[in-house]
Amino acid sequence: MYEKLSDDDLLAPERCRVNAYKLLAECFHEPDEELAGLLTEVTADEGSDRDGGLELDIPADELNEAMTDLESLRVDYARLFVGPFEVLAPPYESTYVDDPDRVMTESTVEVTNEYRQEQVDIGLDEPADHVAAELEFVYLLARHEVEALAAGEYETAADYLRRQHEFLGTHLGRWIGEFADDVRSHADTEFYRRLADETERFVERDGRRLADRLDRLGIQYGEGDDDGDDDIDTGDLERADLVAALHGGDDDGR
Amino acid sequence: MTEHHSLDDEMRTEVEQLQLDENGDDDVDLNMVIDLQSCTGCGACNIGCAQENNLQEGVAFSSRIVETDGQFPNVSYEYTPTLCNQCEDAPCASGCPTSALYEGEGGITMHDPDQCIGCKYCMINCPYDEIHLHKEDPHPRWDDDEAVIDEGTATPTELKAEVGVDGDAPAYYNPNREVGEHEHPTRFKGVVEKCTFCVHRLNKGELPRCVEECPCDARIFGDRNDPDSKVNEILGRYNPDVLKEEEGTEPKVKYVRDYNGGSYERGKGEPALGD
Amino acid sequence: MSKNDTTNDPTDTTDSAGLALDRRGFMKTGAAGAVAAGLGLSFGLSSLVEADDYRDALVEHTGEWRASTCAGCTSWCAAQILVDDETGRAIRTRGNEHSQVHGRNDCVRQDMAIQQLYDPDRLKQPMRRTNPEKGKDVDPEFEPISWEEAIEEIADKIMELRENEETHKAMVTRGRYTYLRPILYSHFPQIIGTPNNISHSAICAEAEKAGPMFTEGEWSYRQYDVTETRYVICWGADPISTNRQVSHYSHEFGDLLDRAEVAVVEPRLSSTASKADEWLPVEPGYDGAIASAMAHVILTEGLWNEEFVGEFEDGDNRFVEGEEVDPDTFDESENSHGVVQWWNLELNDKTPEWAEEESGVPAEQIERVARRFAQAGPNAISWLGGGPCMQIRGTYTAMAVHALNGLVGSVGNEGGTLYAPDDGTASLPGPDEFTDEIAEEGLAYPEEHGTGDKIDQRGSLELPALKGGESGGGVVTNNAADGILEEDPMEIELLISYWNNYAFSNPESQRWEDALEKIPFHVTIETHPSETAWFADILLPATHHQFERWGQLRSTANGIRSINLHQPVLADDPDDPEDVLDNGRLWDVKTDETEIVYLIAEELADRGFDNLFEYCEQYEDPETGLAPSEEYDGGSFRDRELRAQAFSRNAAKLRTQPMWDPDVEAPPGDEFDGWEEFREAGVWNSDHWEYRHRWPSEGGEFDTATGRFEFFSETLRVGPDTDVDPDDDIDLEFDVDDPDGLEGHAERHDTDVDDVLETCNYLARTDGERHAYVPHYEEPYDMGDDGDYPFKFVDYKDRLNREGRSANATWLHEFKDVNPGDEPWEDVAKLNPRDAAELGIEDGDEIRISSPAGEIEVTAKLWEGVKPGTVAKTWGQGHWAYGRVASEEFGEEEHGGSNNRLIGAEYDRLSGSSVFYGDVCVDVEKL
Repeated sequence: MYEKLSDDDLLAPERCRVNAYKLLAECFHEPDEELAGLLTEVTADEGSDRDGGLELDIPADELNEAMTDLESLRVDYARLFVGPFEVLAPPYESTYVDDPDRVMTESTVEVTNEYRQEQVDIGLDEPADHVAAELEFVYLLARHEVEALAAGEYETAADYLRRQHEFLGTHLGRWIGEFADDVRSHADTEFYRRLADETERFVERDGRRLADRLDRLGIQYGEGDDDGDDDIDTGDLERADLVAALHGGDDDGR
Repeated sequence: MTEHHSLDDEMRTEVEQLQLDENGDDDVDLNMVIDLQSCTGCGACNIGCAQENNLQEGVAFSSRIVETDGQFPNVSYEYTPTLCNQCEDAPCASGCPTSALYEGEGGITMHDPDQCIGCKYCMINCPYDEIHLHKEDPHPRWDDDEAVIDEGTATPTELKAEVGVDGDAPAYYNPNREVGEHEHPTRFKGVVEKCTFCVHRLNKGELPRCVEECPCDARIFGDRNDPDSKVNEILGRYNPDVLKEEEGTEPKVKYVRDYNGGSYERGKGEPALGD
Repeated sequence: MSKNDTTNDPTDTTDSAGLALDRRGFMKTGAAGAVAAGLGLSFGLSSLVEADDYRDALVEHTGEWRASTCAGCTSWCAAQILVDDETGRAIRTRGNEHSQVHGRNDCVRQDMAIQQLYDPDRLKQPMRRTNPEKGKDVDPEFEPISWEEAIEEIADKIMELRENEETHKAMVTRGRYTYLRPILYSHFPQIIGTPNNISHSAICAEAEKAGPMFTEGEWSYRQYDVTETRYVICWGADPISTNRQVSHYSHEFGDLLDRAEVAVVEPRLSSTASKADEWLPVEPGYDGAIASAMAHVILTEGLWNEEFVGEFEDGDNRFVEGEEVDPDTFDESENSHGVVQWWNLELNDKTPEWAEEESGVPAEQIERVARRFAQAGPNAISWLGGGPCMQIRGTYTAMAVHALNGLVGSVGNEGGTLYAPDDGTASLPGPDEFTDEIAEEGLAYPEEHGTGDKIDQRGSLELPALKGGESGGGVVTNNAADGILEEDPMEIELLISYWNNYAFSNPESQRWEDALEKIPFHVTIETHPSETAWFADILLPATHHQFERWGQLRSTANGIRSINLHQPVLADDPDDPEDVLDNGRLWDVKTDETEIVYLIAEELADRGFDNLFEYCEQYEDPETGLAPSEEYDGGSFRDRELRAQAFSRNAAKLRTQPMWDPDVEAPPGDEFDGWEEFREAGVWNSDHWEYRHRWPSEGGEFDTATGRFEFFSETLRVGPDTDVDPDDDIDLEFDVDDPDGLEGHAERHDTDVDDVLETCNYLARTDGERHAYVPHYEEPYDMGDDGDYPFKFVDYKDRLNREGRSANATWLHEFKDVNPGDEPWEDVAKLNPRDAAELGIEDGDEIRISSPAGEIEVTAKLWEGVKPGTVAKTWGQGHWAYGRVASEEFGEEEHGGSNNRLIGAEYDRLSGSSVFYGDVCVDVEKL
């Protein structure tokens, strides 16, 4: 039995997830001064108890520590993710899921469709299944989830949970491990090695966590559930259900 | 106020009734007949196709062979409209390593860009040069920030923003091309593409654009397997020609009559063996 | 399709959910608040953006077909434009299904308008030149100004001229128009007080009209009854390629070849010639010889149409080579006048053998074509194009070619040459009540000063321009440059030009560059920064006629006339001025003939001259009775713009009122319930031309001096309105104040007809070997000594030309080889391979072509379809402005070479037409 949580505390674990995805997405953009500044800021904010502080599910301070000069980062980024010739860790789902020599495959189309259903589209000059975009997409779904919670729309919130789980299961989660392996093997800088570690760990853990929550809510989920049936067959969800789902059984110590 | 009942209306009625299956499991054998006597070599088909399919300069699914023969004043000029022949026995498809090219609805040789690896074997195999490689992101001309007169005329990117078109497309981008499973809104670098007999239009009961566009009614389209179709009427009346018959590709695009119509003064010539 | 706001506020903020987000999108502690809406993605770095609605995957689009009219050439095909309902863009265009002329068939050029509408190089905004120096190599340094500022400057200049009582120093030039043109082209100049309204018609095909004018009294273009004909001779006309009514003739041509024979008289193998039964490759300038020889054959072989022309009383054919005929032996029909005189004065010795010597076309072919043409008569057409008659001595060839229709009786007859059934559109409210004394003085200025009637010097001794038979009745467009340079009859201080590019489109265009440099205040209204705009002081961006404005045009073919509406198709409710201003045009553009005139009118009224404004207020909406200022009041500029748009709409409604208003009488044709129904259809079709209704033998009358078809042209002699009894001898008094015909023109200048003809470079005389009043052959007047300039230059218009406005369209260049012998993306000059061999020129070599007027450098192409001794080159390239595709480098370097730099400024003076063909001599050398 839990004491009545404040709204803020109810949302807290989800906020951590939202911010984690956001930060990871940012880290997979081409590095510039902004990125360095971001990490510094985030580290400063994180864990501060004041209002307006940031909560994260990943150790941003460790990433910050591994930050090095911009030039080295840019070179490493290019080697790993861009080219011009050999791309050591192509950051595209297609490459890992469909065909190692191909980009713009069926997966790309499916991912684009997912985005479109949420009224967004790829904003980079890249195929839609770029890692930064997929991470940011989960961020978006998670943010919608939090907004729904804050508004008391528990069915909607649960639906977003389900969709996050689905996206991780059919897309991001399927290739993050192999991708992280490639980054780890080829990165020159400590920053990208740690980033690979953190991303992989977080995403895989988050997938499991989501599965647990959905179990607790009694929600059916499964891979490839794309018959468009968005109805949550749970009857009316109550705040208490969400509290139980979100706060019970978490063993990550937050 | 009456409207013309035209050849187009007749053919459109036939097309509306076609039952096409995207895997090619239909009984439809789509053919196009080009009547060279009616053709005036104006190129309306080419421009209509370019506009319909959002093609950039250098990629023309509908094109032509022009030939001038003889010596002044006994000269002939001939214009032959060309397009993908949708061959019965298509070397592009049989030589495609990923089966990105395959026989689809109505016998059209379809291309799936998702399977294409850009190897270009099809281009080598096609005897008619009707497969086009996208060597760059489409419409680079529209990816331009220069105006000829600053603030007085527009830049291509500004014009696109003004009319709400994004992506690698011209400002007059045709969104009706987006329909269907294998259509991409615009295309992308590294894959090939070819004429599809405007399958996106066929699926809406509309004729291929070149057929509709021709002001001379020089193109006739329909199902060879339908004994009452217009194409059958014409193919029955005239013995058609095809391009490069010796290649054995069995094209579905056929030609009847002659571009150089007209007559000449009758006579038997002379037995000119010389001295 | 809204975009989010991108908050650049560095402080923390709340998103639309009331949740605390920082600028990058991270969620902060201490959340509270309302339900989320929106996405707020554009914080700092972002991988995803809001998707534009219309890109939703796999959503089908529909659109609406809206009526308007194409004006890419004067086929003026009624059209329908597909407007995409999601983005409001014009996607494509086709022939209007309601048109009885061509239905949905539209020629290749109609779709090219899409590239014009969505051309980035289009003027989007008014501009003012800041560099006071003007010149081809001088950057005007244009800067944007507002419409208000531009209109104020124009009004200032007009008021200045008025105050100095020098309104005759203004000038208006017209190019592509609609039939709302009287407003800007006729009424506005009259109210301001200038006689100088100059059209482009003389660089169109004006000499063609002289043929039917001086034979049957019709100064206009014809339509041809191809569905009923059995023989067509095209003289320099290429109907499946270029003007006029290309859509209809292209559609019919395949069938025409099955039931008729087609012969083409043309120096090069044109599109039509390549599909015809006979090609007669005539030496440029010698077409008249063939026409005379054909007439000779028709008469000597007894093949003329007796019903139309008449017969020998005793049945014996006295048309024998070399022998004159006694007119009393011939019983001429009441339809015809002067065929015997024609024989006696011209035809009797013009044998095919003689014609072969002159023209280079084999005698046997001339004979065969003439014979088969006449045997097919009256279902036979002698189709006059611009080629044979836009030459220095062209009028007489025009008459000869058209007279062949008279000989076979195809005039106005089934399978022959027809005109348009009655137009029936209403006249627009006029300017007469608003023309004050200052204006009258300005209008009368040329009567007492200088040469000719207007700045183009028409009506002067050497420029009779006998449109409609009237001295100075027609325009001499190209000569206006000389009038400006010579300041004769007046200096020009204000020029308003619209939809023309005179500095490119006129022969010897270099002179226009000089003339425009001289004009201190030049306002141009057009869609693109053309060569002409380069010299202007103010650029006003124009609406595109096919998509963005109100207007009216008409088509003539398939035996009918149709009245075609232009309307602003990009607006959902084109009747609503607000919708049109806000959504009906791509940029801040306005309509030349209407909106701009109205805005100037209000500005002039502000300055105390309100005549133009009062004139405009006559234009009430015929359905509501409201004048523009009654529909919208208010003093802001926006209010003026609304009134101007209402004025524009009202003008279109008034002009076409007979078509749509059941209470107004109209010629027989389609019937509509009202404006809305007509507007949606976009086209009104007349009933079919009544065959032979002008034949006197059927109770009609030709609009000539004798009322008959004239093989001896009294109409040329004294004009159509002077009644001449065909049975009387010729001896008349006439009114000197109203000079008509050649005699009238001579009298006006106190001289005789022979002096006029000599001054105008004709060989004909009233008593000479070539007679002034019958169709006859004259040797061409060569522009250049054949020692220095041994080749004849064969100009012809690009099949993909939208009257010279499509050079900036990539589709023109990509598919340019639809002109037989041409190459995509190139501007080639074509040479016969034997000539090229002698000059040491190979395919692809750079060559220089020069004439007494100028020179160009282009690429050579060897082609067998070129007659030896000639150079054939498609007109339309050579732009150094206009846009980035048309020019090689905008403002700096031309793409290819302009034919007009080679063609000297000369005229067929009887018609006023510019010379483009037949007489242009050039030299060719390898670079």
